[in-house]
Amino acid sequence: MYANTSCGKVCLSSFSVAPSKLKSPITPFTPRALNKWGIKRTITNFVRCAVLAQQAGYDGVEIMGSEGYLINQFIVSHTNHRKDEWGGTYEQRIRFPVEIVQRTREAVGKDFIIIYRLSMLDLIPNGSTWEEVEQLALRVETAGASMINTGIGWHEARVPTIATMVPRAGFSWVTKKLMGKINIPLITANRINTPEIAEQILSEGCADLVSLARPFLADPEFVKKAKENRADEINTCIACNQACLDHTFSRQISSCLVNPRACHETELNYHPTSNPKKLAVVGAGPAGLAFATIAAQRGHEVHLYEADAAIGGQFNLAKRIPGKEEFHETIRYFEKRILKTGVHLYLNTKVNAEFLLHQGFDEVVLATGVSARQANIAGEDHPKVLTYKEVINQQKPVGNSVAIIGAGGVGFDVAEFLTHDGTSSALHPKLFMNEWGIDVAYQTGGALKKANIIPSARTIYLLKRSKGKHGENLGKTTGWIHRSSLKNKKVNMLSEVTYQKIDDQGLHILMNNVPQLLAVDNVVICAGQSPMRELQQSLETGGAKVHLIGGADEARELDAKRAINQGARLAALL
Amino acid sequence: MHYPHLLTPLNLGFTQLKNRVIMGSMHTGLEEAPNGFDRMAAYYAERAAADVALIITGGIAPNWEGWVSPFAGKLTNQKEVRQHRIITEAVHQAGGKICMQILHAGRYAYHPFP
Repeated sequence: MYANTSCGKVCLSSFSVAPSKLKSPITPFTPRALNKWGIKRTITNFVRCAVLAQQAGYDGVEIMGSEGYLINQFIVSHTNHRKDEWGGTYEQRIRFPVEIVQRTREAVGKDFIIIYRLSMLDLIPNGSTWEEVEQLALRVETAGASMINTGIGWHEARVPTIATMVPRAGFSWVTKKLMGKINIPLITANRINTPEIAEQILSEGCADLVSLARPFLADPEFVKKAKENRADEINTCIACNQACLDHTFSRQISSCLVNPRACHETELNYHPTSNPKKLAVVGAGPAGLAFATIAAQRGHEVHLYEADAAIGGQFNLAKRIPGKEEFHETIRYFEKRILKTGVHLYLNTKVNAEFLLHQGFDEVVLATGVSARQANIAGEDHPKVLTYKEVINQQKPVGNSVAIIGAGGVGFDVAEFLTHDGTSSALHPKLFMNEWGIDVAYQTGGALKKANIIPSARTIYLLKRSKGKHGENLGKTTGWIHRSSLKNKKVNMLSEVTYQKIDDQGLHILMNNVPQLLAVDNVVICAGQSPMRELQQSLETGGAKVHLIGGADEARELDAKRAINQGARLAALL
Repeated sequence: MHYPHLLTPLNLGFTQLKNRVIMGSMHTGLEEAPNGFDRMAAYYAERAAADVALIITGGIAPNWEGWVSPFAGKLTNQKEVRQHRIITEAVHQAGGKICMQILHAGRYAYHPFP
């Protein structure tokens, strides 16, 4: 699931332990193999931890037996090469988790919840077979677990399991295979983000309960809103990982792209204002929407002006990218919030400074976003040159061979868009499973099979001036997925490119000082963007108090996380 | 009822869950942050108050070898029990239930200082 972490120059030895001395592909350290005494001590530590949790007032514990962590490392032969009674046969490899559950149950008594998180689909070579999964579930039940939760994929698996391109409820079929085989309740997980999909899973008998993690960052009131038939007011998790898992991976405190209050409940609060103001917001992209709806919720009179016919700004681009359909939900959420909070919304309304200065606004918030930059290449006005907006939003016809200039987030999105022709595997579980080599027939241990890639709809070149690997600045937990996806579609990724000119023949470039012609039908420019803030000066000259948020403030990358956070924090202050 | 399966309680014998929705385990980084326990208490309690049936905390190590990263959350002594009580009291006061996840990272542990 995670990208590789690099080792650097010196690979240190380590305090980490495992059943066998085998390094994982995603950590720089080789573990020490536990000896028999170490195994016994570790089991005792698990039991002590559960007892202390009980003393701390917890209603139970979940014993983490999946995702490739220690317990999981004992279970599969891929990581357990032991010759003693803790390795070898499956029965001996599962002795470690079974003893942990059994001894924990003995220590905590019967009135304490023990959930065992069982890796039901390892997605690694030589992982557990389905028969072994069933066997372990039975043993864990007998050992005293109250419920079994579903784990899908080790962290080192090269298959997306929770990111936004995974179809909703895409792995509930795995839990369903275990239904009826054991007597304790089963929990299913992964990409369940609406009450509708959760209800569907349960009504189809895939599980007894659903587990949602990120959706509770996005909206603490998920269940309450469902109960009150207000599901359309839920701030839906778009599974972007940008503020949760990406933060964890870079050792920052988690939050949520669509809800910056998540994990910041003690410092970011939207209290009613004692000093209601009349506020103008220009631009209904992510920053403007976050600001406008929160300011209105606090009691300000908010007027939101949008030049386009719809709200959403850059989210209207994102939602059209195959595998990013969830961005629709954020726009739906804000549409509902605008109505609920009483924001005065004016669509198709491009305002100027004079207008704003004469409406009696106390303060003006410019959330006017960005404009796409030119690449400054000779022939950039050639008819075969398109902007990314023309390709994605206006859906202008694009030929069979395309060069994309610029390989940042937008360049990757355009490449993803152009390699597909219509069908998005994020909306078709079968296609998704085939594309990533997941064997739903579960014929081998780990359930991997050869991936079946649908060839790209076009020949694509993704070009950048800079050195190094493509997509290095993409999200830590999702960048590798985007890279693999484009590589699978045979996108040509070229670095250190010098652009010379565009003409009827195509795009002329230099690679290592050697001229080359890419004979493409179209060239799409994704060369970054500049802030749009031309209103600022005249407003300030006219005496208005002006704030800049989102891309209008900082346009280096299209950064919705930063935009929404900045809008929300300003709205909490005014 | 609009989501009849989702909102059906579950009887575990000794205790009852008020519906079928669990807030799954997720490491937040608050486990290691200053005032982290107060902040986690506020974070979890807000969700408990809004009717999630059961919360599972981010992974807590049973010993230091099992740390996901240096000085990550662990529960090995009485001092740490007192810190965790801040969370459980807040969640119970909000009418919720909470389980603690025990996670030993094994070879995924990040131990940069040997």
